[in-house]
Amino acid sequence: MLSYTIRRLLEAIPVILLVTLIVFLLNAAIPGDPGRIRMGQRADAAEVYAYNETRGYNDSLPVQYGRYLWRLFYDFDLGVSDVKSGLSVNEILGESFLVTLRLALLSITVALVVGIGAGILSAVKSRTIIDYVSMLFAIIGVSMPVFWLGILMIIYVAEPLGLPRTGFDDSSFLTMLRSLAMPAAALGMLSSATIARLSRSAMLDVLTQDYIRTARSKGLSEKIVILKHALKNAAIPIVTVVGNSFGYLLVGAVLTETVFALPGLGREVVEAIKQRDRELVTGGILLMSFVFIGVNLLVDLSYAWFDPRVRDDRS
Amino acid sequence: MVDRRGPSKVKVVNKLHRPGGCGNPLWNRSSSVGSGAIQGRVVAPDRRGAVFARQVGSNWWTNSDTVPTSAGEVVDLEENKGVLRMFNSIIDRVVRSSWIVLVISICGCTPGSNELVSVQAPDPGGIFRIPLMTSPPDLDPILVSDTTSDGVSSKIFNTLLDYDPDLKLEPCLALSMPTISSDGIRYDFTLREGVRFSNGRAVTAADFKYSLQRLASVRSKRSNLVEPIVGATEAIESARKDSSIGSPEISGIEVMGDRQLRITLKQAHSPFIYNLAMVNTAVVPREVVEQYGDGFSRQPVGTGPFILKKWKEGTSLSLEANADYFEGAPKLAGIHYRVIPEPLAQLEEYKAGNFDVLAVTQGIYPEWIQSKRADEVKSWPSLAVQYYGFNLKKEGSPYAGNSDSARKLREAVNLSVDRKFLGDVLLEGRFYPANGILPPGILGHDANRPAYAHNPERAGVLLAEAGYPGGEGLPQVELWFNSQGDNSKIAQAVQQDLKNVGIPIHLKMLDWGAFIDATDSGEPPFFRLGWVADYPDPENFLTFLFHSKNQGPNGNVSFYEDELVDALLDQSNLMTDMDQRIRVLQQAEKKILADTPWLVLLFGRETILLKPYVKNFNPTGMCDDVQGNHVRWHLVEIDTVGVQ
Repeated sequence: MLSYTIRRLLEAIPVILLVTLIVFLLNAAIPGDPGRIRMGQRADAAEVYAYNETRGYNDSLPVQYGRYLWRLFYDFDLGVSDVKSGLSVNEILGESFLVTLRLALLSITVALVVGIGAGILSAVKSRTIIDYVSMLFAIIGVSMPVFWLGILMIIYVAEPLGLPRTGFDDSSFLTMLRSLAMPAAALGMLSSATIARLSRSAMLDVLTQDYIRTARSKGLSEKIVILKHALKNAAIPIVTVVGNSFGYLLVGAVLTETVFALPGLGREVVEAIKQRDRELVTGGILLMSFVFIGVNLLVDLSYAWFDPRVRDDRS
Repeated sequence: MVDRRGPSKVKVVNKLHRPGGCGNPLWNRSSSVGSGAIQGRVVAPDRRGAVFARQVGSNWWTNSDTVPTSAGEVVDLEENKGVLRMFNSIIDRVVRSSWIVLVISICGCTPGSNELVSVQAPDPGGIFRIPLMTSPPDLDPILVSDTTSDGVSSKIFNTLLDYDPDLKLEPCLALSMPTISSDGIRYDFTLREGVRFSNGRAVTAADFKYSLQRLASVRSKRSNLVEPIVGATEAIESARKDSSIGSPEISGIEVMGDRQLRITLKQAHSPFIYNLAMVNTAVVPREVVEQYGDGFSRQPVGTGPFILKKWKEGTSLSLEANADYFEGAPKLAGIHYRVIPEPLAQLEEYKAGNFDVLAVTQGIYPEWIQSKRADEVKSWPSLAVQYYGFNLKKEGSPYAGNSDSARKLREAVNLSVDRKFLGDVLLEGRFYPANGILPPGILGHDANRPAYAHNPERAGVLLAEAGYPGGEGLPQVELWFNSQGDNSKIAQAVQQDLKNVGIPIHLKMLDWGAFIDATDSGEPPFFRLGWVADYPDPENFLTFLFHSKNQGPNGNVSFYEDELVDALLDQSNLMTDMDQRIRVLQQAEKKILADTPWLVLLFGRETILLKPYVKNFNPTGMCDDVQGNHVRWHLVEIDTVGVQ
C-alpha cells in the first residue's frame, strides 16, 4: 500500500511540471500585457516596458520558465502578485485556499448527508411517493444553476434564518459556520442531487443481491442490513463521485464564491486571469492541480478500505 | 441582437398568477409573463430594526384552469388535472416539512417580498459602510491608478490642493493657493502649520519633495505627473537604469524652508497645478516608506481623516478616524468596506441596512426611483465621455484617413445612432446623448452645442455621397469592445442602428487585458472606449486623446493627427490667462469634432443610493463615485434623528 502511494506521488511530479509548462505557454499566448494592466491606461509605453523589465517579463519564455522552476523547487516560492502589490502568491493562495477548503468540506458534508440519505430512502422506499419526491428534488438540484440558487437564498433565506447574506467571517468557529452556511448549502445541494441519484441506483442494485436476502433471513434488523451490508457494498461508485465532487468543489466554486462574496481560490484565480496576474495564475493553477491529484489519490486509496479485493490486488 | 423598437410581445395571463409572484422587482421586470398583483402589508420592525413588506398567500396556483407556457400561450388544463392533483398532493406534503423555505425559494415564489423599504440605521458617530466590487490593489499613492484604490487612499492621504464642491481648486495641505510667477514656471507653496502624519510626526516641505520625487521612480504608475518639472526627465531615466532608487532627485523641486516648497517647471504648463490635487501626489512619511518598502501599500501612513486599521485581502477593509486630523476629528468613528463582487448581492445588503451607500448599476435605478425611497437616489454629472473610436490609420478600413469619402462615412455613422434610446432606455436614464468631447463640469464644455441628432435619412445621403448608396459595396468592419458592464448591449444596439442605414459592422468582444493591448497597438478598426477626467481641465481630454505625440499607448488610440490641433493644444499649455486658454481649447475641440475621429456617444451621471441618515456627503463630481473620493469626509456624519 505504501509503495503504491509513493508511486502515485512520484507520478504526480511530471504532471505538475507539465501543468507549469502549459500555464506558462498559455500565459504567453493570451493577448494582454501584464505591464499595461498593472500600470494602467494612463501609463506610457516606456513605463510599461520598465515595469516588465523589473519583473523579467521582457526575457525569453525559456528564461522565465527556468527562473520560475528554480524558485519553485529551491524556495517553494510562487512569486509576487502583479496586481496586489506587496503580497506574495504563497500568501494569497494560502489564505484563499483555506476559505475554499472550509467551504468544500461543509458542502460535501451537506451533499453526503442529504444525498446519501435521500438515495437510501429512495432505494428502500422505491416507487413510493417518497422516492418520487426525493428524485424530483434531485432533478431540480442537478438542473439548478448555483449562481441563481445563491441569489435566491440571499434574497429569501438569509433573513428568516438570521444568516449573513454575504461575506466570510472567521473570527470564531461559529461565525465561520454562519457565514458558510448558505454557500455550503447552495453548493452542497447541487452535489447532493448527483449523489442521491447515484446512491439510489447503487443501493437498488445491491438490495437485490443474494447476500442481502441472506442477511435479512438471518433475522438482522433492517437498519443493520441497510447501513452495514448494503451501503458499504454500494459505496465504491458513490465514493468515486463524492471524490470528484470534492475536487471540483475545491477548484471550481468560483460562482458560489462570487455570489456570496467569499475570498476563495476559484474567485482569486479567475480575477488573476482577468488582470493578467501571471504569477498568481500560474501558482493558482499549480495548486489546483495538486489538489486534484491529491483528491484522486485519496479516492483510490479509499477503494481499498471499502473493498478488500482492491487492497489484495495492490499488495 | 436587440429588437429595440418592436412592440413587446408579452402575453399577460390575468386568470392565473402566483400571488405576489417573485418578490424581487428585478425578476419581475425580466419575466416574459405578467405577474400578478402583489398582495402585501408592512409589518413592524423586527428586532434588528429591519422592516420588510410581507405578502400573504400560500396557494401555488389559483383555481384557474389555465397555465402559461414558456411561450406565453394559454393552455387548457382540463386534460392535465390528474397531474395537477398529484402535484398539489406533493406540495401539501412538502409544505409541512422543514424544506419549505428552500422549496419556495427554488420555485421563485416567496413568502417575503423585498419592498425597497428596509432601514437599519447605525448608531450616530458610527461606522460608515461601503460596498466594493473588488479589493483595492494598491494604497501607496504612487501606485494608485484605479477608482477603488483612489477612493480608499484619498481618505488616508492629503495633497497640497483639493477641489471645492464647484470643482475649483482650493488649498488642502497648502496654506493658500500657490504664488505663480508671471511666466507660469515657478510655483511657491507655503504649507499649513501643525499638520501631522498619523504616526505623530509633523509634515515638512522635505516630505513633499520626497513624495513628489517618488513619482519618478520605476515603481510609479504616474511619472507623467512630475514630468513637466525641471530635472524630472533625467530623474525618470536614472530610475529606469537603477530600479533601486526610490525617490530620484528632481532639481526643480526645492525645499525653501520647513514649510516652504518651490516647484519649477521646464516651461509654462497650465494644467500642471491640477496634478497637485491628485492622490498620486499626496505626502507620505519617508521613514515609514523606507521601513516597509513595497509593503507600504499594505500599511499606508498619511495625514488624512482616516487611518488604515485592518485589511483582509478580498474580504474587507477598515479605516478608523484620525483624531488628530488637521481639519478636526472626523464625526464618524470609521469606515468599513466589504468586497462583494455581485451587484445583486450588494443591493440585498443595502436593502437590509448593512450598507449606507450603494453604486447604482443596471436594473436598480428605475425600480428605486419609483419607490417610496426615491429620496435615497443621489445623482451628479460624471466627468466622463463614452465613445466609439475610428482607427484613422487602419489599413483597409473605409473609415480611415482624411479622404472625403472616409469623412462622410464617419459622419454617417454619427448620424445613424439613436443616442437618446441608448441613454433613456438601454441605460435607464443614467446617461444622455453627448454633444461633444468635453462633458459638463469640464472647463470649456459648450452647453449650447446641440447633441448629435439621430438622422438616418441624412446618414443615407452621406453614405451615397461616399460611394456606397444604401451601403452597397461597403466592407464590414469589426467593432471591438471589452466585456464589461453594458458594453455588449450598447454595441448590439449600435450595430442595429447602423444596419438600418446599410452600414454593416461585426461585433468582437474581448476581455479588458486583451482589448487594451489591441487598441494600444492599433489593431481594431473601430473600438469602444471611455475617458474619465483626472482633473476638470479640457487639456486632460484633448491632449491625451488627440495630440499626435500621444498616438498609440499614450492615449490617442484613434491615431488622430492634425497640425492645427497639435499647435492649439501646445499653445494652450503655455497660456496663463484661463479665459483665452479655454477659447483656444474649444477651438481645438471644434476642429476635432469636424474631423469625426469618434462616434461620440454619451455623457453620464454618477448615481448612488445613500441612506437618509447620512449627512454632509457632498460629492464634487471629480472622480466621486460611491466612495466619494473628494467628499469632505471629516464632516460626514450619521444622524438618525427624525429618520423613518
